[in-house]
Amino acid sequence: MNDLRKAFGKLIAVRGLWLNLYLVKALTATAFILPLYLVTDSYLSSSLYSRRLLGDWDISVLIELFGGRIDLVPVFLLFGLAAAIIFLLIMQFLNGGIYYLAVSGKISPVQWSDFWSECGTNFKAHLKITAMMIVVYLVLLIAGLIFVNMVGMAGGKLTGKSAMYMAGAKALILMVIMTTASTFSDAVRAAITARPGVSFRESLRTGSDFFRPRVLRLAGFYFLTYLPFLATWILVEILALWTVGFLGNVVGIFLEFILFQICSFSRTGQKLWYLFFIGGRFREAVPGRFLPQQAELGI
Amino acid sequence: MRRIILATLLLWGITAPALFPLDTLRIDATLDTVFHQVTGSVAYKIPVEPAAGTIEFQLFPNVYSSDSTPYMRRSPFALQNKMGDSQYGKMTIDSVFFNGLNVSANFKVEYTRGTVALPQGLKVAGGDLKIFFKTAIPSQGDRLTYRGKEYLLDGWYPSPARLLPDKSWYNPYYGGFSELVGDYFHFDVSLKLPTGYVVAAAAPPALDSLAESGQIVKFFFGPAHDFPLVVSPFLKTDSLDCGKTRLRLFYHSNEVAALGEIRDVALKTLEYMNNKVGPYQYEYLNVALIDFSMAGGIELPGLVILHSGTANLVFGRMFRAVIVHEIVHQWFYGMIGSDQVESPWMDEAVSEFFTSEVLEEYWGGESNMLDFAGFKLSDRNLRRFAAHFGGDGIKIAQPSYQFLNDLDYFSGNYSRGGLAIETVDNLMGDSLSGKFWREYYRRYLFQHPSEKDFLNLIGEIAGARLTELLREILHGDYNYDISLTNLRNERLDSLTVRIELICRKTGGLAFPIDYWVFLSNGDTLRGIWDGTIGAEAIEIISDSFATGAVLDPEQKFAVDRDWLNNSLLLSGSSRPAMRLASGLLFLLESVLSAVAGL
Repeated sequence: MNDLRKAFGKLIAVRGLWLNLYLVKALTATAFILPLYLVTDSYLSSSLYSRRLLGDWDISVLIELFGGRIDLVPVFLLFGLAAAIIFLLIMQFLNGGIYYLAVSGKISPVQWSDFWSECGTNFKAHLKITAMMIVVYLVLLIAGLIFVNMVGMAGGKLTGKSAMYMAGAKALILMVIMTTASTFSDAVRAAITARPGVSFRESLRTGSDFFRPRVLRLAGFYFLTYLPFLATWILVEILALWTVGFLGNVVGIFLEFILFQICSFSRTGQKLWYLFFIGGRFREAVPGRFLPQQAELGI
Repeated sequence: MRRIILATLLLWGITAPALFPLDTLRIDATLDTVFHQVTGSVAYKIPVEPAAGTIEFQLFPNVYSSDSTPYMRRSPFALQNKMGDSQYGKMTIDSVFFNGLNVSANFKVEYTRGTVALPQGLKVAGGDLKIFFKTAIPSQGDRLTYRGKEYLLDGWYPSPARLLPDKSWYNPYYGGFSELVGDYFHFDVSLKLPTGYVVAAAAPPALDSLAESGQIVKFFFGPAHDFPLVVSPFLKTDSLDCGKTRLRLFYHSNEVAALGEIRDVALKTLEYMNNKVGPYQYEYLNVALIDFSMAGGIELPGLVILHSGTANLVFGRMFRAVIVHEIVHQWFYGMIGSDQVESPWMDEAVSEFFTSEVLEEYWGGESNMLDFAGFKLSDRNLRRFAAHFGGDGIKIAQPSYQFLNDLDYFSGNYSRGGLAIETVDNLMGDSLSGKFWREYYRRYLFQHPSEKDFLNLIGEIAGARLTELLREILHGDYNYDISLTNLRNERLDSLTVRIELICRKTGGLAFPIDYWVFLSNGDTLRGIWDGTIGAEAIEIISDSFATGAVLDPEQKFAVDRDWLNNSLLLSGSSRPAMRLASGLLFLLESVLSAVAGL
């Protein structure tokens, strides 16, 4: 827990980086949502029926909007896919610097020249890990789905709330599986950062050696960092609904937007927090190039 | 009182051969659980002299006789048969006797159509026909199938073809998506099966006795046009009174969680339909839960089959809608027959409409399908969505075998059909709607009304124009769109303003459409656009400016493909699009976080 506290202290120390990383995410998403806004506004602005959206997330409006223009749906899905790919590439570049800060612990003050240099140096290596992890995630997703469906055989007979709880349990199992894989990815990225010159295979081995004995603890700490975000998310959803339902005007929509962005900002913070935690742990186990300088005693 | 009504109906049935040409169907059969087959005999009287001097009956199991039958070509089961070591279904006729005379030599089979040509000069009316049959039960089927020791038996015996009023036989063509068609009978059924099996049927067994190496169960039920069974050694039973009807539930031990929902939904659906349409005529309503048929639910006379595996859909609310839909079928299919092959909309579309009505009555109109974290969806809106997926050129009123795939069938027949009935019901208004459905029930109880009968009754009750509208929707291309394309104010002098709105519609819908104009002084002007031509400018002289207008403000035209363009507000607002964009932005950011970590 002490390590988590320290990691949180580091997160606060690099709040500028936190904000900037959030902004990269928000601006990438905005670039792709903007065309959608312009298109939908032309249909919704003069319609009385669209006002239903001001109180609830009334799906009937979306049905009217996209039902007759079903061709727009794949276009917007492609927009989302493009945004995801672009953001993924940007993040592989930034990962070099972020993991450098996390594993080295050199954050006060942040040496931005080192940060950008690390971004460029390890770009290919992070890209390679991402490519590998996409395959791993896909395999785990398929295996996970088969597993939860086997678990849920009894759940197939449930109705109402019981069915909802079973669906939630299935989602939780899938989340645990995917999160564990994600912590493995973090370990390998930390290995590349600590020992940049070694082969990819060697980095995988180093990452695995760190990951295997600590798998439960790492996943457990991930969920600990996730809990405050989850609480924020739930609170935001409740407040957002209340705000829009109560105000229903531009102010309400703006407040809801701000609440959503607070949630998005906290999600960025949650992952950074965890990275500072796992980075510190990794440095203790595999110091690599971050081994503290030995003081020679002149005895 | 119920017994008197049933006795009266029975007497009426016997004395009115045009309506009840074949009064009692006697089935004596044995279920072989080793070879998965039923053997036995069916006996009935031929009440009138058929026009062609032949007798026809239906051999429904032959739809499962290979992957290439017209029925299986459109069925997902065909693929499963290819994939597994499966048993195909088939009905074999061993012999046919007419008044004790063996006429098997004159018997012919063509797919599901069995025909016996009788010797010339033989008087057919009043004669006894007895058919000895053997039915191989397919392992992959939708309404006739088995898995392990459990059986769903529908269409398991040779069923008489329908005798039409002109004394010709009607033997339906069972292509893709076709459901069983039959005349109304009183069933006298005796089934021998191994001991330890529970039989779910439309009525409890009148006799359940042990016989040599098995048990014999006897049933009396009717009037009904089918007598299906669910047979399983694993079924448990429960029952309770729903008003005058006794609800019997057949379930497996792992399906107990669903029973409370089923009871609640059944109680409410029975109450609504009894009041709105007419009383449920049978003493029992039976619901059997199975998980080995691929259909979500199957309507059968007095018996509803629910596939318990569908329960998880939309957190179980879809399951509720399925229960309502299948119980509503007890009226539209069960007690008021129709031709499910040639006019499937007459039971499916009407049942879809009433499903929404029941859901709205008891679970609200806004979110009876989804209400989670501010997201709301109703069954009605889900239907509007599904209606978009049917292919172009699909007609609501086309025969079942003309639908080419699931999307066309469910979208065209269920969704668009349900919206068509909703439109007509909305336009009739509450009082005429109630009158129409009650009269439809009264006039056609235990009969098979045709599309023409349905349309004529609408004409009688609500006028010929509504009949024409429904005829057009049923046979049209379903591309209806009502829209308001222009709204303009022009000040004529210091006191008067000329308001002009342009109303348009595509695809027909020659019917008056309401419009409302909102004025700057807070008043609302209400008018009716005649709707006889495709586009029309409406001019209104007012003392206030119009701020907005809406065509079909109460959304009576459920078949209108787009409700967004029915209104125009002069001071447009970007708030809905802003909120949508804000939500989607958050969603995309969450996706990006999941994909890239931060």
